[in-house]
Amino acid sequence: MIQVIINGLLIGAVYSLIAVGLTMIHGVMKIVNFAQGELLMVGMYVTYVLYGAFVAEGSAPYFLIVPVCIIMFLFGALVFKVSVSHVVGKSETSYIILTIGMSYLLRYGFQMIFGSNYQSIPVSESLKFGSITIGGIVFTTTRLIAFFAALIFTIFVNYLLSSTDIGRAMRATSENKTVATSLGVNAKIVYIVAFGLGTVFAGVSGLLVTPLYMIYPSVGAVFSTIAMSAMVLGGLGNIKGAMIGGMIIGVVEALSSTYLTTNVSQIFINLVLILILIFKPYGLFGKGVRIA
Amino acid sequence: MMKMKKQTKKFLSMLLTAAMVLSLAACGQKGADSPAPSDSSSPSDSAGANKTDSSAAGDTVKLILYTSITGSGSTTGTMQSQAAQAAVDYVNSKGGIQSMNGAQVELVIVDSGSDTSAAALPLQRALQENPDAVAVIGHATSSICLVELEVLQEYEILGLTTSASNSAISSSGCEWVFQPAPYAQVFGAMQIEFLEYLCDNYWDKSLEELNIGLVYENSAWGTQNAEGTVDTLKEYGLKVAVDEPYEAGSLTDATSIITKMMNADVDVIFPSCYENDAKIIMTACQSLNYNPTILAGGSAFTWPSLARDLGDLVNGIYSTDNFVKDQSYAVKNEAFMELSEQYEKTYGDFLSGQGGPTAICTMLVLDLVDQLKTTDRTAIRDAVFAATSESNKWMATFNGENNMVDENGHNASATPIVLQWQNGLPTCVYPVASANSPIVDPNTLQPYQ
Repeated sequence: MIQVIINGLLIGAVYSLIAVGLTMIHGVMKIVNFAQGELLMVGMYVTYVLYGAFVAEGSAPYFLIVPVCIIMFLFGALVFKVSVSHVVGKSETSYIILTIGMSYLLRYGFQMIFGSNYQSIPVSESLKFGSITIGGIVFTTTRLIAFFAALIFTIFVNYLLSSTDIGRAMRATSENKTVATSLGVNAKIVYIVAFGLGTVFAGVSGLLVTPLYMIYPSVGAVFSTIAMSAMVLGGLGNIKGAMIGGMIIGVVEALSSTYLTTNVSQIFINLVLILILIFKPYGLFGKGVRIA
Repeated sequence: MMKMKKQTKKFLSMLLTAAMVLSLAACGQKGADSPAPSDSSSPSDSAGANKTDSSAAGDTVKLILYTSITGSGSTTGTMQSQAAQAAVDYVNSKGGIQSMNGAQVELVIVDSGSDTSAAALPLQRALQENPDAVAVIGHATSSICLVELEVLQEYEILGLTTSASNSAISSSGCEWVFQPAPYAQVFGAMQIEFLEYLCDNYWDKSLEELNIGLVYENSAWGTQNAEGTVDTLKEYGLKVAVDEPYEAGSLTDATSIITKMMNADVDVIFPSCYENDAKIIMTACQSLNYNPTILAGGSAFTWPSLARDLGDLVNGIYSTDNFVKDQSYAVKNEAFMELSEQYEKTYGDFLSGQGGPTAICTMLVLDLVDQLKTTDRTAIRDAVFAATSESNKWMATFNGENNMVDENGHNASATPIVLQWQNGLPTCVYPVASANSPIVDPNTLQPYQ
């Protein structure tokens, strides 16, 4: 039982990291980025290209975290500037079509560039298949690294939002853009930073899962749905909620897969989501909206 | 002034978007890893858009390859397009179709996509644009084959379904289809037969004592494979210890599945899945220090990409398949072995269970065109249907003792093989009549004594 829960927490951390990125974007801009899974895929390909160019075969890809973050931030900022910025605050629904369209553009664009064949990076077998056993519980190395990276990144985001000027500006813009702007906050910069950071989170998730999964253009699709469930479960716009939501989904998935069958894990994930929303309509940590 | 600034910004945004799309497209054309050693075969020529002057002049023989170049089935499509192109290049390099004054062969690759509902249209269009095509090689995916049948019947052109294994294809009543591969149900039976062989000859445990675990994607292919295994186990009076289907394409973690297998003391796992899932399953086994015998149901476990990813850990894995390049029936065909070598030189990979049958089907049709000295579709179909292992060396290359086409258009003698990865390559180890290498112990990698 403990092993199963540990398995769930470790994969849940990956879901959390993607959900945190999704939550950052939603928290500030009030839009759901349906292309978040594809941004993870972009992160995997960026890792793949950088690894092939700069890293010796057999090494771990984690050294690439800084360049991946920079490239993903710039990519996110570019995507925001050329597309998303035109719909933020202008329509309640057009962002849905826009981000869905973007997900297709990215998926098929990368298929055109890299082909649809499955790729992988040649990390060492000790990393790919390695594990640590503590008290009879097996921790797979790559998932353990992903778990701690997710924790560190979430703590970083919490710090950024609560203790820095840009974080305060993001929170202010999130609560009331008009008031924030009148107080001197540059909402455009805030939006670019929020979307860029959301993209960084997806990219870092991509880097962390690269030793675990094959790299192919549609790899992000499965993560996209799970991350959205985690975000809603934790409460829209709540970073801590997204983190815990991802963990809960990971554990529910592991328990239902182990004690029932993998085929029904999606049913249980959605059942838990529905139950939580019945009793907590804004998610575990979400706050209701006051209607004037 | 403000308005102008706004318009300029809008224009710049549109320009950037267009530039992004165009640069992606341009990069794709440069970087796509599609084979296309000759101009006529590039995927961009899909749907027969590449009708050439030479074909109009009548000095070429056109063959259509119908496969999934795009979408989830594109790995298969790449292997097939490379194999068909290698076969065409082989014939052309030997001077073309000898009996037709050295007519060159032109391959028209038609991309079906991977979505069954939209798959028939590209083939229809290609057949309209290439009325002189002699046959259609493919499709290898059973679900797409089933929609292809109507088109074959309408255009009266023979379709050779390479490695497609659904029995509904040849029992459909279509008069224009040849299905050379064994039916899906017999792959499961072959897995059990092979296990029994191992138990009888090399293992300490009997078949009855083995705990068998199934893990398979819940697609038509995965489910039919698993059903075949379960049915055979029932015939032997045996049960499955763990039966684990999963949603195709949704697997992110297999530690739960593997934990369940470990708890049930599973000795042999039968996985039927594609590449990413195969990697996830094998990674979970290794991470949890669990080393059961792997006897896969083909697909990813027979493909070069998984071997590249798993490295040495691929060695020892068994899998059923409909073809492996060193099966005895293939080795006997010198021309095939030469073609196989050329393929490896050109593409750096071996002919897989998808590529091999594609190359054989291509060679079979071109050989009969050469023998008949005609491109008449009816004559070619009748000749394929009349061919046997005794009368045609390409028919004899499929795995089977006495290959011949039955009244439904199926290769009545088709038998699956069991391959094992040894030294990073798949080799045929069972049935004995097809085997080319001794079976090695997956733990020691030494031949069983």
